[in-house]
Amino acid sequence: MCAQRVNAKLPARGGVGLKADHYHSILNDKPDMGFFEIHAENYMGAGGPPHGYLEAIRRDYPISLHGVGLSIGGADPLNKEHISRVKDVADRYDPGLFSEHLAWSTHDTEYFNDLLPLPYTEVTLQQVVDHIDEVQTFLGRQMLLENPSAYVIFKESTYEETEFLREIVKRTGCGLLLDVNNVFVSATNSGGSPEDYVDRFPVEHVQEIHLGGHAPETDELGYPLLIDAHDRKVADPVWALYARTIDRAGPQPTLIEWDANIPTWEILAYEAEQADVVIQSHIETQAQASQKRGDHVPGV
Amino acid sequence: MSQVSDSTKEKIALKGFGVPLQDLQSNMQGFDMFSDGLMNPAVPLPDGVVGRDGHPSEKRFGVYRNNVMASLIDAMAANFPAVHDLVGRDYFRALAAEFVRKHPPEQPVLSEFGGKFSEFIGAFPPLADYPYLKDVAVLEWAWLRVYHGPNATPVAPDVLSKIDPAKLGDAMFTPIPAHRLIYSRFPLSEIWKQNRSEDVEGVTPEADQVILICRPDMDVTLTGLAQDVAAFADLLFFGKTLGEAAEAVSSSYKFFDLSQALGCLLSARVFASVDVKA
Repeated sequence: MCAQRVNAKLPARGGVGLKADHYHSILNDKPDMGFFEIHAENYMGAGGPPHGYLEAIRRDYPISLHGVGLSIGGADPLNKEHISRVKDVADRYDPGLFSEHLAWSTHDTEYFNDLLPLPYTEVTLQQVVDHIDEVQTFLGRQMLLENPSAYVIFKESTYEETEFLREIVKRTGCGLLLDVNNVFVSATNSGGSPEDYVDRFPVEHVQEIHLGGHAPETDELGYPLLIDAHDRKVADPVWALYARTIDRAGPQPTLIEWDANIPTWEILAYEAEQADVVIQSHIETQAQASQKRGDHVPGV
Repeated sequence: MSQVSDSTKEKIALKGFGVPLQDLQSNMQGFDMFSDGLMNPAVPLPDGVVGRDGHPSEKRFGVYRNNVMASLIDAMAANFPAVHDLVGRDYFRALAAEFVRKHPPEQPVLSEFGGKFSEFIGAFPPLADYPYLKDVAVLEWAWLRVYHGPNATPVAPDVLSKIDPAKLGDAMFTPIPAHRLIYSRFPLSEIWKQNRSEDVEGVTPEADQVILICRPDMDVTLTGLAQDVAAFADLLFFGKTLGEAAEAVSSSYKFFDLSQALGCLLSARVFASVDVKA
């Protein structure tokens, strides 16, 4: 069964989140797509159609596994049964990457189904580090941690988010998933500069990038309040920030997240192609620059 | 834990997430405060969680509140589409919000959220005049469990022809794991056809009261069973031999037709194996 699958490694190209609406288009048309990302929690049943479709799609495409329910940033102990279910999905589909969020979603016994924010302090740093150690040990693989989108500011934070992430990587050996839309949303919501954030980000640890659409609103004081809605196209300034990110981090597997008001396959695939265009343009610019410098360019 | 004075504890609580280093054992207060406000708008905003002016912001915290409730209500609508259509969108969202507050999910797999919904509907006074709604929720929950249940290959409908007729009475039938029997006083099959646009096989007026849901391959199928066939199936699922089950059912239902009952269950492809007891 596994022998028929393509290699698990994700290419540095555009990919899209796998949606049930598109199962048939993908299987019938075998579109040229870098990879598909799945939410681990959608494939935790024992059997049935979701696994049937995913098994078929996995034969032709690499996938990345994205968890939304581990509550890495919470104060409670991790849900052991849930980690075990994540491992089952990882064992079943051999994903090229596994990622989770710098956020929490469970407290006491309640699961809130949202990626909730945490303050960045010595205490929360240690909690996150312990949780990532536990997950990586149990899964027997490295995980990537994703920067969140935030709507509020914690007065008691003592770390900048970029420094907090850098410290987590140092202590756990995890990698990072840089969500460029989240950068734009959080920076705008807190009055900061998205460009500064990208420039300060420890890009040497980035192994995947996320892009998605956001909904513009305002708070009661008239300040912009962007909502990470994943319900529309990626905004132009986010594409510009993405180009800046690729120039720093180099070409990376880049996911288009579109989870609500899900578009036709063609519209979604077009967004992923735009990521390919940015990556290609970066590669060409680099090649021209090194030619000018007289560097040896492999294959040229 | 070392000695912490009451006034210090109070400060910790008031500061929300601002827990001093020596209190590593618990920075729970901040998470408690944040969590409490998510499903209950009457709870004050968590302290120290602010907007750009340094003060708590209803609108900003409200984004989290809205994400939590709206996404969980959406999950309920996805799991119970027939209940949703029967009561209408607005009513369903209000009903699901009540349910979510009373029985929030306890784990992150949302296709497994809502197991208590049928009970909740049955005990919800404003819906007392619509007693069938509870059964529709029972059926939708069973459908979901069968849809996500383990895969198994059913035996061919002609499997009995390969068994020595003299030993047929000792045959034992193991069902595929993805199956459920649902009993109701209401014509669930009609409600199902109208609200889920899926057919229910083998329905007779009487048979509307028991529905066999199973998934012999990728598609979930629903089959209406007569009461005697359902009783027979139940005994076989329980591990009784064909002879034992047939005898027990015949004593309660004098018109029980064994070959018709077997034919019905075999064509529903609900059995994974048939073995003759040694």
